[in-house]
Amino acid sequence: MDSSVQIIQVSGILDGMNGGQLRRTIDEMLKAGTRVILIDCTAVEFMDSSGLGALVMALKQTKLLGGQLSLCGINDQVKMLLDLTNMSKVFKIFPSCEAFKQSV
Amino acid sequence: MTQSYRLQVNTNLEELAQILDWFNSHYQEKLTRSVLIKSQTILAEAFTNAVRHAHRDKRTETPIEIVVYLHPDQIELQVWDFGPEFDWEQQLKQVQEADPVNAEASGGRGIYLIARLADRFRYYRTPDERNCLQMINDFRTEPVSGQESGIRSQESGVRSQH
Repeated sequence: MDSSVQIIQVSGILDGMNGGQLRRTIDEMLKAGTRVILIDCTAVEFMDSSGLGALVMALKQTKLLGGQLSLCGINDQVKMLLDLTNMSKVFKIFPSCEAFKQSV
Repeated sequence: MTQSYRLQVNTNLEELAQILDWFNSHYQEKLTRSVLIKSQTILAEAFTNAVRHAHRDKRTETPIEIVVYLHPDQIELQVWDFGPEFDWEQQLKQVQEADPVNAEASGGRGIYLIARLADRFRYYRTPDERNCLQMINDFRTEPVSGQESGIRSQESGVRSQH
């Protein structure tokens, strides 16, 4: 993997607060030239609509710069939220970090 | 037999972790995974909505009360706030007309999720000037994987509980 690929690990509750931090991290990565980003959600226990909002904003920002933002390791609660808001079609979702690494 | 638990928290978004821990400690073993994650999500959205909107101008100490009733065939979630009366119907109508996917306001997305995840819900104001958002989910046999999730004919009644 080259340096333009980055993996971010998120854990616990992905809400407005964690989501804000996640967006800042992604903004910095984009500024530094990263264009392929994976958010590893393996340790995310729960996501609320603000966390989802942060993911969607980060995705928009990444796409605007021609980049790609993917998710991996989402649990059934996160998947339910993505499905209900049709976001599971918008994000590229990998079963695991390994599956993502093989794809880049 | 109906069993209930209640929890009072402050007007502070950081209380969400405590609410989820509390809910899981009482109900993780008693609900199917599907009902559990729906209920967690409904509670979280109702709570954060109360903090962000109903209690926007209130002090942190203003209590938000969560009451959960476990009935033999359904789970009932109540979130009580002290905010001004809220035109829930109007808000819901706006959310349903807007594109929930692109709705920038997270509040709108929260209301949309509650409406989608709860089998029934009701918002009412009491004479003591509190508001209750009451949300009910029935227990039923989950559709077999691959089947349309909208099928609700397989009422299963009670899931084993103690």
